[in-house]
Amino acid sequence: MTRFLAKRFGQAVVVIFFVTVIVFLLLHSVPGGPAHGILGPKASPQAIAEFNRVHGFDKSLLQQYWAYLDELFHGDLGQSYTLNQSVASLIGQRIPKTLVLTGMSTLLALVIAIPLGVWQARRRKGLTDYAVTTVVFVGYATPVFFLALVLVIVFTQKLPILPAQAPQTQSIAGLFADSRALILPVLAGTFATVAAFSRYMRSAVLDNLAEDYVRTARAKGASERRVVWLHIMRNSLTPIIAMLGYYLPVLFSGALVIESVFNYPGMGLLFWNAAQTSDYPILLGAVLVIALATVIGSLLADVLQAFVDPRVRGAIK
Amino acid sequence: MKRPLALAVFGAAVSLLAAGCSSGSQGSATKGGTPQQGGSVTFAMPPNATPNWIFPIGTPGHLASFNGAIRQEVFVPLYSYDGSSGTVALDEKASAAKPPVYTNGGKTVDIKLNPLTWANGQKVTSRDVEFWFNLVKANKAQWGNYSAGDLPDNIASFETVSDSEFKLHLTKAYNPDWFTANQLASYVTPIPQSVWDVQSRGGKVGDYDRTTEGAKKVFKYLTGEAGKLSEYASNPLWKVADGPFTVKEFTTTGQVTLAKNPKYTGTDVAHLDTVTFKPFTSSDAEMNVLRSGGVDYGYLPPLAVAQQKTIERNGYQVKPWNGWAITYIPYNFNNPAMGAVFKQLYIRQAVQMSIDQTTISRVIWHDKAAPGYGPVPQTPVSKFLSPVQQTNPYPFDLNKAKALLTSHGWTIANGVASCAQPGSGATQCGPGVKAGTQLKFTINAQSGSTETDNMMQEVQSSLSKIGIGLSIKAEPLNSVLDHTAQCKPDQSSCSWQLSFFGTAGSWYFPAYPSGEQIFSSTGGTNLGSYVDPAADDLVKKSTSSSDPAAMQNYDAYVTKNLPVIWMPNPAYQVSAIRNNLRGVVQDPLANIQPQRWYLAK
Amino acid sequence: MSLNAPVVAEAAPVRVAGSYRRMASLFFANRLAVTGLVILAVLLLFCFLGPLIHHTDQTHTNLTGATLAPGTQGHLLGTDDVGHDVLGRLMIGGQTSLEIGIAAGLLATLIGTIWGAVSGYAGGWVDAVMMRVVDAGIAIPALFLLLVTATILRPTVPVQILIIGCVSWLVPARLVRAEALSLRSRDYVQAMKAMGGSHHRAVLRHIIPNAIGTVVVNATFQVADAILLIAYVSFLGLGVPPPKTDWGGMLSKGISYTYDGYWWLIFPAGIAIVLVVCAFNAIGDGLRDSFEVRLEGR
Repeated sequence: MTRFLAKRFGQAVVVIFFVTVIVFLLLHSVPGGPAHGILGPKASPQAIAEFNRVHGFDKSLLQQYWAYLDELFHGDLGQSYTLNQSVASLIGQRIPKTLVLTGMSTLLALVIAIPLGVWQARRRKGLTDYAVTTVVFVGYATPVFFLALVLVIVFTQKLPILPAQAPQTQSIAGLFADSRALILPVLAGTFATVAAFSRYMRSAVLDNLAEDYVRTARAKGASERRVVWLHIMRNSLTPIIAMLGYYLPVLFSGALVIESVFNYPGMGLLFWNAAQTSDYPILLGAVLVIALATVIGSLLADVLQAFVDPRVRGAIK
Repeated sequence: MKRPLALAVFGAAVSLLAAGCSSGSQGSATKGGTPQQGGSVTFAMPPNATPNWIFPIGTPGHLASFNGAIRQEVFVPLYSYDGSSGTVALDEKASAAKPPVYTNGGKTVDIKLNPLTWANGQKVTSRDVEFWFNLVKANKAQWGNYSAGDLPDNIASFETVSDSEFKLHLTKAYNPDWFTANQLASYVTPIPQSVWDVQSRGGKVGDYDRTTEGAKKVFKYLTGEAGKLSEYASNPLWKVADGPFTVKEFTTTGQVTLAKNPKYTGTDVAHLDTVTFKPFTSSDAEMNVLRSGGVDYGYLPPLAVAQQKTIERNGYQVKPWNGWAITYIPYNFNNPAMGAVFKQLYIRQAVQMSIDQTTISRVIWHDKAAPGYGPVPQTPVSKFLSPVQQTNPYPFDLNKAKALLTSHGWTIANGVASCAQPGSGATQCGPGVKAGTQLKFTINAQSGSTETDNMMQEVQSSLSKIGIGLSIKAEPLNSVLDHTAQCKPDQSSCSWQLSFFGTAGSWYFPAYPSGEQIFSSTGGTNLGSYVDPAADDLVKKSTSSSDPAAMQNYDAYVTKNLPVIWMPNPAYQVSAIRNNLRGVVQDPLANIQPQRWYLAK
Repeated sequence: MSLNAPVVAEAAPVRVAGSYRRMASLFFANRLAVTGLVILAVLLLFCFLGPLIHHTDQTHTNLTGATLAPGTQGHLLGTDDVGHDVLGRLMIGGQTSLEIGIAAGLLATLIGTIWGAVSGYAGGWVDAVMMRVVDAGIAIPALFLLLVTATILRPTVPVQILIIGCVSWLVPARLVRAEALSLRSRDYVQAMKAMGGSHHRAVLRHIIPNAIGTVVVNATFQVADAILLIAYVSFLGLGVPPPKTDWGGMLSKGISYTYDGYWWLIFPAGIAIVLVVCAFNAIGDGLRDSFEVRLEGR
């Protein structure tokens, strides 16, 4: 087991390194660099030359990447071109806010999706199964930006019971103090997530329903309830855990659309604005964070699955 | 995300010039009522506007629009222009000096300061202005607004006459209007030498700025301190204000709160207690807040025209804010594929005649954009506007446009024109245009705005009717700017042909709308490398001679010569101002004077 | 970056049922799946045959007839903000959405299947390297890739297909690899190799056909996701250049007019997206049912 972990850890480091190389290369593929965009059309050639000199764009690609790696190993993610702060502090500010939103959406989605998936699988082919499945499908098929807009119109204009903006305070405590304003953003996120989760939940339960151990348990006289909630749930958890593990990067990168519609300055918006304004240091930093979250999530998922499911444990050995 | 980014275009805050400019209904947007002292107002900034610099010398990357607007409230600039008096003029109340006097044939400027005081009790003196000049001279390369040959290169010497009077000796004679508006007013700000002339925190104040070495060290220290946004409200440096407001809060997310400065001794005293500048991530988000009454001075995305009634019912006035700007599409005359084609005047004329500016402004922009026919802002009508530009030499006429092409040797087959008769004759395609060349242009257009997308589609549709195929490549504003560089034909950066970055106006002028930066062959932002000796000559005359007809001559010529495609000029924004907020002037130069705002009973 | 659905691994692999007839009967027993198939057929006919019946000019603008309400001047669904007939635009928009969605979904499944099959079958360090490449691919936010490529290339239909396919092949790869891992230890594969069969043959003749259940089911889900993805991409302003459009672009444009009451600019395109994605999901569900064996009689 430890050998497995060590190997995967080593591979994770390689993956992250690889990701930074690709992203770095892609960013620097724009001829002329970001100077014109950042300084605006009124920038004089001298200002542009100065900008390039200060940020190292007059050096070769290899030298620039080396400088970037050097800073990275010293824990320095660089300075934003447009937001006058270090990238690390920006990300440090935005991540907790995003985590609150995505965390709550995910939790709520799980609470709804897991029982829903089990319940649906048990009532297969019934009218209620079709009805619920249809609703879930529609939830999945509705683009999030459309859904968010409908929520805003219904709950802030037609029936003005909720605020149109997410809480604007800086601190996490403040976020929860203004919890009414969190309702709509979290709701929008949950709708989209429930549909995705329940699609996989249902199939996981379906597959397990057919397994031999279920028949054995039933033959041995176990009540239907016990069969479902004890045996099937436990074994359906494996794919759920896998799914959550792969969902970790999403937790960190946030939902751009929701943040934009509800004026919630989290990671998603930071990333999008940085991409629009060619703020390379932020882009590199954000991608790094997301890459880290991805490999950690994938690793965690594999490890947890091994603990929960003896079949997977065997496969690893 | 739908709101355009106008910020990069602004540069330092500037203002309009002289008599003859009537600003019409936008002059004093709101007035009347019994003013009450005190109160606070929330102002919504355009999406992604993040003020990030308070130091009156801007470095590259810190020239965002609201930096200037906010800074001017704390550190009064030497000269300020705006439309607050009803016509656009030098605003003495908002300036640190009386109007300049030009002598010696325009080579000497005599300036007398107004009696202002720094927050530490000391008077604003000539030494403070000299301090600014010294710092800029020693650190030209780091100054974001530096353009070779202009400030501070054109100042031969600074002569202190007394504490409140000084003289600038220029290297040559300049047009006084141009120099005051585009050089002095745009940049110069007195800064407190008695507090800021230090080289390190807690260091002793000295005359370090009088040596180049010393000035460099002082500048480095000050810009270092200016980089610490979260300390703006607490750092003693920035507390030494001479303006009607001081900084109360300056967050890294872009929210800024100004509080009335009790130590202000000028005549432009603020009525309000605080003004908060609120950042927004998108115009939709701002719209939602506006509808629920969360801002006092906000804006409507232009498409939400039907919302005007609702907003007005909620207690707001809706008024477009028109800028002193022009909007255009530059041609890349050095593009290897189409450069030679663009150089033919008849081609440019045909293209211009295919742009239906009136219908575009009315239908696509819902009247929140106005047609523009030349290099000077079309509205408000000023003394710089020539009759040629006023009456539009190239009205919309697809038949005439097509005829221009066919009469110059182009045949149109399958909707695309190709050159059938190459050569330099009067009925031939023109020098440098090869046989069989097809008229297929690509345009890099700014994304993120439905109006701009629609306008590009309309232009594409019109051009296709005369045989020109236009492919549209939508990118974020920054990418458009990155890809639209001044270039030579053999460079890889010269692959762009046409470009549009004017969702909120392509070019905002300082008070004197001369074209030396965009239409002269040595201009730093002459992106398309437009070269015309006659235009160069007229541009030079407009900035150096004091002949009042110089600008109109320049205007008439450039209007007809089409260095770019003239496009409708969109409003800077469509503002929604709360009914009880008075004293607001929607300045064409996009300045704000919150010290004149008040809440009426 | 989260675009719409999280990138996840499908649950345990599905097994192939006995005969095609049984599969068909199982499929048609699922009423939702049948409904989905019908809806898809109707939409395909609408988008590709519709313009032959209902001629409209979708390349030129007509500013004098912009934003007309449905029913005026013979426009069944009105006109959009530059004067295009909305019904006609829905048809050609659908062509683009469906073309890109189906092609990209299939491309993603193709690349993913081959990658996953080879990786799972090979095992060892080859598997490790290939899977780490997949991890790296997932780690780079899709949004970032889309933005960067949009600034370099012009997003024509073939380019969009390529980009979306290249962003989406990671999930099928993981799935097929899991399947291949379990299949390669099966007796018949061992037997074949003992008899001297090549790896090439093993992958092509045994792994892939037996994973076909998973692959086919996943392909339909891939198409559904691709259609949603292209809608999202158009919403962000990175979609196909005018005068072409797709449903996502129409919806995104319409959303600017939410408060103006121009419902015909929003709902037709929105409903079309929802319908087609639901249809593909339902079909995929039905296919999964039809590939099942052991649940019969339950």
